[in-house]
Amino acid sequence: MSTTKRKRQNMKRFIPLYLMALPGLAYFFINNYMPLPGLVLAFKKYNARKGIFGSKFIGFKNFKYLFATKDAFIITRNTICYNLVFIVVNTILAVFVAILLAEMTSRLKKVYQSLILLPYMISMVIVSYLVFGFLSTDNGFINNTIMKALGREPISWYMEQRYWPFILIFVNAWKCIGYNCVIYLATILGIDHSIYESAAMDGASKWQQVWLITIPLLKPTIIMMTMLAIGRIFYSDFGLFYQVPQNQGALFNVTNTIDTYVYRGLLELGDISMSSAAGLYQSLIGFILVLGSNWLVKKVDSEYGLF
Amino acid sequence: MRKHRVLALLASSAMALSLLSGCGNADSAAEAPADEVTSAAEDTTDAGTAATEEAAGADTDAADEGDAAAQAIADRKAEAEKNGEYEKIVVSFFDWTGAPAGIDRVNAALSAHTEETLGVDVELQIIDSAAYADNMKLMLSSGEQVDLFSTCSIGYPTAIMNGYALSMDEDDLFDTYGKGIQEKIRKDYIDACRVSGVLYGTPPIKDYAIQTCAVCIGQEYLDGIGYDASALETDENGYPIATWDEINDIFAKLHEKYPDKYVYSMQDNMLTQGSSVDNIGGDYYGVLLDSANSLKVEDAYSSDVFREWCERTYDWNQKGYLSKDALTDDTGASARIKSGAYMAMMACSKPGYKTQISGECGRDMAVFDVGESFMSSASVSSFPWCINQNTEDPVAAMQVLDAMYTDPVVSNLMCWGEEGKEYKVNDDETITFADGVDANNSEYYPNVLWLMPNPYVAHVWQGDPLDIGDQIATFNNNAVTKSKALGFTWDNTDYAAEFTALQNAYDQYGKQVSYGFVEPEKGIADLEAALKAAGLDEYMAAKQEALDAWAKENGIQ
Amino acid sequence: MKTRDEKHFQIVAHIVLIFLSFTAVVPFVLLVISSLTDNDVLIANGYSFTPEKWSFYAYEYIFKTGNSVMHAYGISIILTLAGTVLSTVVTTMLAYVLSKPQLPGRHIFMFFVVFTMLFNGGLVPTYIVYTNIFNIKNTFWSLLFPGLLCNGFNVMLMKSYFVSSVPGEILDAAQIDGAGEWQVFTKVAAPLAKPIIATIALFNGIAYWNDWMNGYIYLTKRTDLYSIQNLLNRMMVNIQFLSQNSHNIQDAGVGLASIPLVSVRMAMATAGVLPVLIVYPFIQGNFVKGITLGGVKG
Repeated sequence: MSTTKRKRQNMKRFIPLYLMALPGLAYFFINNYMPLPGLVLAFKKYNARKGIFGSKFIGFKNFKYLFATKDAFIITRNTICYNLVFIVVNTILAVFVAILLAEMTSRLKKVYQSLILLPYMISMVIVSYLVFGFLSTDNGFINNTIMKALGREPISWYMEQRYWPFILIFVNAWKCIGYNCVIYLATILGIDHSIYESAAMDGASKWQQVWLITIPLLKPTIIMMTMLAIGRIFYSDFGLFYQVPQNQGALFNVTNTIDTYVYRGLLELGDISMSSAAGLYQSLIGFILVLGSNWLVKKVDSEYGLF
Repeated sequence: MRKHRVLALLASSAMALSLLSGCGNADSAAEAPADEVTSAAEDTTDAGTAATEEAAGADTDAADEGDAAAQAIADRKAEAEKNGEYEKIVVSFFDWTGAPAGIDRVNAALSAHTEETLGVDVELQIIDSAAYADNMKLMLSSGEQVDLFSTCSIGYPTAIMNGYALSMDEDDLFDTYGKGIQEKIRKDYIDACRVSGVLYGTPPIKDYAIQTCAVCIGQEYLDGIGYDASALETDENGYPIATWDEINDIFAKLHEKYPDKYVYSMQDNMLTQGSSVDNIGGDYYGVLLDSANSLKVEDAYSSDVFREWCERTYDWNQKGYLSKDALTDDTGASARIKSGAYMAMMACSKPGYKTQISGECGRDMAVFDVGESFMSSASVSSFPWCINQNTEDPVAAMQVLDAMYTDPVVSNLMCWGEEGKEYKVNDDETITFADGVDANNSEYYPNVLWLMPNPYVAHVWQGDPLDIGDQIATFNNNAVTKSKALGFTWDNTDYAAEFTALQNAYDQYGKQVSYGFVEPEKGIADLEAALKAAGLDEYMAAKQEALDAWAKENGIQ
Repeated sequence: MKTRDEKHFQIVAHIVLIFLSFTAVVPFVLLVISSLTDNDVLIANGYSFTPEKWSFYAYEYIFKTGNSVMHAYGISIILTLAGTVLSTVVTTMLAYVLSKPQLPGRHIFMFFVVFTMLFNGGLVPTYIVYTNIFNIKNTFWSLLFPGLLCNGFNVMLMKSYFVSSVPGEILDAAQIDGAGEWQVFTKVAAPLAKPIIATIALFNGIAYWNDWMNGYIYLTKRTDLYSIQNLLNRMMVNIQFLSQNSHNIQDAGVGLASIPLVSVRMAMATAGVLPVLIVYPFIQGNFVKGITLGGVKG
């Protein structure tokens, strides 16, 4: 009797909180959950006349094209490997830059911060033109100016696949550092300054402070960002892998990902069910990986779990 | 993250949003149509006779059917009287800039007319080319009101496979309410739009044939090397007929005289515009190499046509005629010539092409006719007009479609806007921009004549001959190579896996070899190996089977 | 000793950041210069920092053809302001609630949020929900709501900040002092979370400013609602379509010949980013102030 009463009182206490969460949750319901039944499309042969739910059920046939040929291995390998490298490179660089920015005393830090964010503002399509501006064989800045100055032969960049993993990793980092670094910067600025002060008083050097205070306190954010990125590990930035390499065949071994592969086929086929199947496949793997890593992380320290 | 999501969404939903990369790069169902597009009309006498024969054949029904159409109009008018408003038919197609500023005014004028003639309001819903295919797929899937739509950029096969298009044979819709269209379009062209015997759309009247392999060279450069084309014979369009050997000689001289310029401006159109290879079923994985005489599905990429082309471009590349960036440069070929750094290109021609290409290239261009005139199997059915399966009133939609082919008032408003506002009529009956109006400030100037149902029932634009419709019809009729498979379409959804793999294989190996960047023998071997691994043989066999079945059904040997 | 250490750090930091800023800025400079290069020179000679011939024609073209460029800037500004405020408020409230360890059902809610980051119903079903049920097609709301208003990533980011950097004891103390949940949130928690709120606001602002997807999908008739990104994106794709299909289009040749294709793309990209560059330092001034204030207080 008294426990139920307490429970009810307890619940009452939380009503304002639930109300505060309501707009966001309602939005997610509308934006993300209401369209979700549409995923059945992945198992159907869509026909507008019969509608999404009335269309014919065809099982896993729509998924077949994702696995049908030996390309499946290459595109899956590329997608996963690039994402893993991106996670590592981007995290390290972003944390590093965020720490530099946070500790910087000069007024210039404002300038640096906005300049580094600049690439994030430019769309991938335009980035692909700029990359071309640098790498074009006849007129590119690198061949025309740098290679000439070094007395080296010009390189046909778009024909040589060995350079592209580095180019793509560079472009991706170049574009994303500013964004990721803002996230870590906010966390660092939220750290209680008195911790640093007492550490400094104890004679800790700047590097020690960073290593012993900042990084450990950034850990929850880093873990969370990494787990979220793992959830997207089967996705790839279409602009980065399709437009930046200019869809060049010679580079496919190192640039073809699940998204670009699917795009080439479906551009002509225009099949809603097949694109839905590709999306479901990508999400599902991500979902499983997130569940797995969440379980793992929680086993180590329950505080760090996503949910 | 957000950006990530959008791009993923974009890519995985396979929006025809090729962003900036390759809307026009041929080689596909959706684009092949566009490559042959332009404008055309039916041979009036031909159509006339056909219609008379038709009418004679269907003599007894004629009265009834005429009544049915008139009755439908009368019913709608009565309904409108009762409700105080007319039912509306929404017509969708695309232009280059999105809904024009004067769209409401034109729609009002159009409705004022159709209320009288058809008892409906007509609303043109014009979407820009960039978004049209995506927007239409969404609208057609979600049940919004669209009654008639052009399948240009959506793709006719896609429209049918996804169930967007209504069968016009249902309830004898076309036979009963499409009388006017039957008079305007030859029956074999209508039949070319039938898929598995069912009519889902009617083709716009335009030029269906192309003159393949038109090599265009800047006149000033020809003058520079002192070349005189007058010794060559000319084709019926008045362009000198040349062979590749002669073209190669010219190129060699051009290169010698202008070593700083690139001779040839490359684009990925060798099969679409430079050959009579028939891409039956809308793709080049299994084609008819001799479509006028044979229905054998063959591999385009192991053919002599393809090999010769690759050898030619490889040779050009070795000689330094091509830009080293040709593979990555997506600027239009004509824009490159306009820049002054390139001298020649290849396209397909048609009557009046020289003026057009000279305008595009910003200089006087000489057009050499190296190919032949060709009408491919998909040329007529590349982008017919369809009725949405979801329309509330198929009869009204059919009647509006009929009016778009036959009613000069409707066609004029659709093509040109309002007289006095957008255009004015000259003394010789051609039209031009109204005073103070030009292409940039006109409130209605869609500039997509070639997708309009029948632009030849409307005014003729200044500079075009008044009988342009007849000229185009003659051009169509005279096409030297006419595909036997005219009207064949096939559903490749069961081979989507192979198709996707083939597309990827072609993208990986095809462009390099056809652009002359790898040694032809090796390049073709690589391409062939990749295509075979992707399932080319299965795909071709399936296509052959479908083609045979189709040929049997239609009594074609 | 300490100061030398500090000095070293500062010097290294400057060197690294100057290098990074340089790599970020150089391509951007190339972008701006290309937009000011004569189109034919651009095609013939490629992109160059020192073009042979300068030209303002690309900008003339944009502002002349899209006669509503200024109007589109206006829409973009209104959208970005409204979107940023709304989405930041919604996100902050949700994240704050999720950060409460004692909240019943917290894990379910968290899962509910994370799930949205992994699965989506696809474009067609989403479109059907928004058009058929909520009827927002061809309205301003269609720019504001779909996809952008709140995303799981930002919620999680903010929640983790609340957990790690806003001490629960302070909030509890405020509650004991008699403040209601709402007051605790607005008076205590939110001010303490200023750095992350500013960050999320920045992300939301950028997302709304850069978005062209919603306009692309939901605006078919209301060209007057095009935001600047939408307008530029459409122009760009349309021009591309036109140039690649130019052989199909009657009478378009001459008109097309006057469009500076390549430089116009660059000019469009510049026109989309430039206003942000001009405004950003002002926002950043407040942003950094907010961050430091919030940071010191804790």
